[in-house]
Amino acid sequence: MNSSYSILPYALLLALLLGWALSSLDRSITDQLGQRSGVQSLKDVESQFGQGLTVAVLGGYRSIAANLIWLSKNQEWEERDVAGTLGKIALATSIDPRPEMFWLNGARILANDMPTWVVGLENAEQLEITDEGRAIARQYAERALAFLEESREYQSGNPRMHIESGMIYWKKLDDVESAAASFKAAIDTGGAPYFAYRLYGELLIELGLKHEALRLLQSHYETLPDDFLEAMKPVVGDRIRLLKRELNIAD
Amino acid sequence: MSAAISIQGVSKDFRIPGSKRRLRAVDNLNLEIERGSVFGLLGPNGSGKSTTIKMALGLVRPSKGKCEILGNSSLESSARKRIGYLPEAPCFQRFLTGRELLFYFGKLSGVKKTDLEDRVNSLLVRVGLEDAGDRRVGGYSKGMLQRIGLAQAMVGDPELFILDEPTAGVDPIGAADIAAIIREVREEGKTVLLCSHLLSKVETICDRAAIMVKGKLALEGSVESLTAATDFSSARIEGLSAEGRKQLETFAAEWHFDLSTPRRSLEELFLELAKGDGDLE
Amino acid sequence: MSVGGDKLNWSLSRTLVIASNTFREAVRMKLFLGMTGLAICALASSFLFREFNFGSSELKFIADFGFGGMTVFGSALAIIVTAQLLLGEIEHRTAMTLLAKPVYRSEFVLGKFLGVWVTVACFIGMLTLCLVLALWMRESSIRLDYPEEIEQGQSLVHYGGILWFSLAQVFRIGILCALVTLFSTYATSSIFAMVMGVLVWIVGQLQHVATEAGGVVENLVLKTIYSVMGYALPNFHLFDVGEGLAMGEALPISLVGKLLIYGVLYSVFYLAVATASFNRREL
Repeated sequence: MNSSYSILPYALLLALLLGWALSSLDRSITDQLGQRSGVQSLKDVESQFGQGLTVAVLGGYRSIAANLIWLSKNQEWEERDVAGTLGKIALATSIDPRPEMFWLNGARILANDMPTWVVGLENAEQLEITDEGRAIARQYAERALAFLEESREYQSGNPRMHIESGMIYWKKLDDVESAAASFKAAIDTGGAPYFAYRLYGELLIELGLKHEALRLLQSHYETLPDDFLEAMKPVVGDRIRLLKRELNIAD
Repeated sequence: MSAAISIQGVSKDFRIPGSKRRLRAVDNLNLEIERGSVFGLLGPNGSGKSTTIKMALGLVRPSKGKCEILGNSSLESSARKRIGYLPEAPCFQRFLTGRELLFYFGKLSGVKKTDLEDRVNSLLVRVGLEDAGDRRVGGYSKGMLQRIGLAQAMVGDPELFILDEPTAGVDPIGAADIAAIIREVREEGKTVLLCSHLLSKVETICDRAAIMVKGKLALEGSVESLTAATDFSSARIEGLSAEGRKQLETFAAEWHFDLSTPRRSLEELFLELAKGDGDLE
Repeated sequence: MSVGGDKLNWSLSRTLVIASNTFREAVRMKLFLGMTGLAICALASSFLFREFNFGSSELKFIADFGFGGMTVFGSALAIIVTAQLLLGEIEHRTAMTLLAKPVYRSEFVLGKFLGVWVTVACFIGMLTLCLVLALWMRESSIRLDYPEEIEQGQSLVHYGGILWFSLAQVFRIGILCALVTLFSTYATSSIFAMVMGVLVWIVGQLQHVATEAGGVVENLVLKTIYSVMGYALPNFHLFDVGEGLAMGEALPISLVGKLLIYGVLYSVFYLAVATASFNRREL
């Protein structure tokens, strides 16, 4: 018989000792990783057992599993299946909550597409005309906002989540104040795209805070590059001049 | 000077899987192999020869006793610096060429880089593979494998060779070449421990031999003494004086029978021992 | 070490000779070539999946396939090649001739490990190269298709991040190779060593879940089992440093250093146990 087996009990003891000694290093790495991107924890996975989770948690193809589920939701999307689409979106984000695309597109589907599915494409105008339609649109907009709220844990440094919330508050719920707060949060997070500043300025103007809007746009204008179309520097410059004229401020 | 191989009171037990019993493969073996000799280790299958060789090489640990190679414990890796080993039915990395194989083992044997190329070339010639040195070992015949195996055993210029069935699968000409190499090696003062079932070969090459049966040493001595024939009708006379022998010779001449001691073959002796469980009649 | 003036020093050069031979054997294996082809095909197939919105999400998809190939195929290769090349030597008796030379068993074990590890690291390197090429091609075509939407000088892909991810996988593979080397030193068949390797890979990937479960469950037996699993095995999940690396997330040097220390300590431990085990093995 192979006497190599006789060292296994000692090896196991030493392995336990090593694991214990390295547990603080393990925690340190986990904390650093957790801060950067969502680390899958037990509570995230336990509700999803049996739904192809085994492949997902193997790590190597977790992202691909989530991506494939996301792609497969297109089937339910085309069939205008509310429950099916919601289920796939929830599964994709629980398997891999890191891609912003899941949260942004999921929120857009909730806020824009699902109300139309509920009332029917031919009755889409009811969402703005009738009380019942408006209630359905409101309901799904609030669900989209709650969905985006879930993403905060995994997307804490991402301004786009706040921007998406701001757009829903503004366009779907007509809540300019909340929309402005969301855009401010996006700008404060850092790394917000150029249009976020312009839209925040418009919202401040709508709220009657024209001085604040002017200060914002002026400071933003200084940072804009001359040769990048999307920065829309001339447009921002025109808006500043218009605001100054309205506020009777000399150039 | 210490013996080339010194086996003192060595036993080896193997645990039988699924049972508390043990199988004794080698039982209290005592063997000394002198330097500069060719020693044949014989025995039927399962007699403990391979286990003895593995203990000599340090591949297996004795359950009892000790084993020394050229004065060093066989369990130490340093003992193998001066050993060249050819296993039975050798297997080598198939993707290597013969030349690459010798380079590989030469490096592991500690041959200096400056000497290695010349040594490899000369060994390929010596074993008759100079034309096949650049072919992959995977395409070698059985005989070619034995030859390259012998070459890798020699690459480190060892003092002690342990050859397990060196002529197995080799044609008679090749076998004769290998036997000639063994004799050359002995002339160089090196020691050879040879295991073989081709007893006629062992008889012609070896100085001394030992026969193992069921893990025990049944017989050991010079080949000449071992092959001195016994006749079923021969008489065993102990303590015969010179005067007594003279009288016996006179008696034999009168009665017309031969008093000489005819030789029997080692094969006959081997079969007698193996069938008789280690006891000579 | 020895009597009579004979000394045999432990030699790195003998170890490297064995490692180099192992590497040569490994890259010739059909399995290695097959896995490499499969992983590249999987990466190429990611081009077939197009989402509605192009741009960074599509690039992330391609990156995910590449990273997935490195971890899954790389891990499978590490397990199979280590078991086959180490146990294969014992099963085919080539180890006997080798160990009859003046070679320490620890040199043999370490040489085998290094040979396989370098082989799988080369596999990851090749896949990294293919991934970088695939992403660069797609990024270039996106720039051509949507020039106004991408700022001049802005990169959609963080190629340095891809290299960091690959490096993290090399550390992970090192631990896995060392573990399978350990199993191979006492296993009697390569299938057993491979099965154990796969089990440890899965359990190691879920180790963080086991640790958390150990703190949550009340049943004492289960609690002990989860805790033992949590401490006895390495946490492979640590090396999932985030596919977001390719999309610009920064990886602190301190994190790379910690992963290196973690990887080295576990690898050294398993190799030490493997050597002790192999020293006692009878061939």
